[in-house]
Amino acid sequence: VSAALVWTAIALYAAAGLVVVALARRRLATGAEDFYLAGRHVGGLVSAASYAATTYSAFMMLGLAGLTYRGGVGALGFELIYFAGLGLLLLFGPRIWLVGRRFGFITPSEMLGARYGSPLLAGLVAVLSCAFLVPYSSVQLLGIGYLLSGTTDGGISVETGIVLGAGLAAVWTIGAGLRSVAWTDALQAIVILVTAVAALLFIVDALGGWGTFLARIEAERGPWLAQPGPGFFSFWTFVGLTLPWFFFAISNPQVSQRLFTTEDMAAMRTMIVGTLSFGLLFTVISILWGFSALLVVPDLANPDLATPSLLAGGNVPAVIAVPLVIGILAAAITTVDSIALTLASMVGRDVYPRAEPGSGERRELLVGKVVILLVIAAAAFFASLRLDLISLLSVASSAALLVIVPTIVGAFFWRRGTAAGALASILAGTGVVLALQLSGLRIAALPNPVVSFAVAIAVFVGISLVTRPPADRGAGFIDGIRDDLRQMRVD
Amino acid sequence: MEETMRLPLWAAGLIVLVALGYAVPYLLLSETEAWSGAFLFWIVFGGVVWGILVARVAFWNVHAAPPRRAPGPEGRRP
Repeated sequence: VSAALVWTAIALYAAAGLVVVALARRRLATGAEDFYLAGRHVGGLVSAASYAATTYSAFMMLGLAGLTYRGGVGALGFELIYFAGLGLLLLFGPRIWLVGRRFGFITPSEMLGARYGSPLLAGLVAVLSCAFLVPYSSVQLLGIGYLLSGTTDGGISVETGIVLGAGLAAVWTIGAGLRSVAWTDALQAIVILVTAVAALLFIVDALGGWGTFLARIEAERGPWLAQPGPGFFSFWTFVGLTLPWFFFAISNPQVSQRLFTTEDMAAMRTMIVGTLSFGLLFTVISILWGFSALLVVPDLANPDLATPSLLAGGNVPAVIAVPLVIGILAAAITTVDSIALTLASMVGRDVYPRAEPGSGERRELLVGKVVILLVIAAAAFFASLRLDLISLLSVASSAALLVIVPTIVGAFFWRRGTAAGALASILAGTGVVLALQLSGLRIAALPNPVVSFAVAIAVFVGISLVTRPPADRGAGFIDGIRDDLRQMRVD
Repeated sequence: MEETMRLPLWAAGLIVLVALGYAVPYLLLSETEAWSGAFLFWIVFGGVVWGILVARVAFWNVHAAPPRRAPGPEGRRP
């Protein structure tokens, strides 16, 4: 694919995005709640498209397709176990929404700090999220770099791709906060779904239609259709990959923060149904796309290059390939901008005021905007260095955020949970994650996330039981919303 | 964890389903090198998960949500 053509498409996409950002800006009011949560007034359809776009990142058509190429059908199981984890939204969505309205929370870390009566806990969760989500964003930007460079045969350099992605993410975020992020997300969700379906239909047709495609996979790649298949997805590898992702909806602040933002419960319901529908469809498309790569570009040394290779070699006409490249580029950007916005809100509200007490909301918001730029700049810088440490931290990120899950579950379901228990659990769990990751040690062949999660649960329960719970024993989070939940017929 | 919560039926069903999502492909379908094996199983799995969750939220009484309170001087924090 020629670089000029890709640049033209990028320009068109950027122009459309800028129009969306400009429209979003016209609605922007003052204050942190408006900037970070769009005034808690996001409608159902935008919420659905935005949630889906944030959670289903560029990983789908790049990483998941690559995982299918490498390990076969296990990739489908992995993604659908995550999908089943979206069921957590039915328990936590209404609860987080209710306490958010009642107490005016803007960040998930602020919510946890208030629940356990510990600003220190809020700060710890905020810092930890930065430490692991900045590397995760780096990998997204690096993905853009590889994608653009791969599909144009080097016509666009990896570094140019990183800078381009970072620049657009910064504009999408600074423009109008969550409003511009959510609206550009919605644009992206439509682009990626339409282009991915078109690309898949084209490639299957080029392979001789569905009958031939399915028959050839069975004949030529039979092991890829069974578990553990060609070998990648051993049972414990599968467990280690799926466990952190099952809890993604509550462990990752850039998605759990969205639960504060819907305008009402009808919008939250639309968000959940829309995300589930988009997710199931997009999962199947990405998996079949990965299988098609096995037939069209077999024997790649690096399975992560399955999609760029498929798009580069003239296998797909430019009219299909270029929009898909834009869709994937947009998907990576929407993940980076959501993370930058969430981290900015957490640092602005939960870390900075501790360093500078009495700093007020205007100052807080200004700090947040500086943090947005710093987060994106740091992500781009780390991506351009291509350090091993970055991919290591990125891999560890899902396991590290998993250690916050006992604290989150306890906030709504266990009166006896304490701040000391939460702090100790998160610190011990993170310590185990890093120690295992850095040393390469394995405990009894168990995957690392299983070990660190078990440690986090045990420490949370153990330390909570020997320390004093907050005076109100979490009343505002448990008893205080029970009647509302019952009337809403929520479990 | 305390008397506050019994596991709802849909959640129990989801947990059983997820357990099957691990067990069936590894125990029963590890030799089936065909689309009718683990692929079909997981597609049905995804469809059933979708059905359970959508059916449950359809039962929500979304109009019973409390009206938004103006953030007053008291009660900003629990």
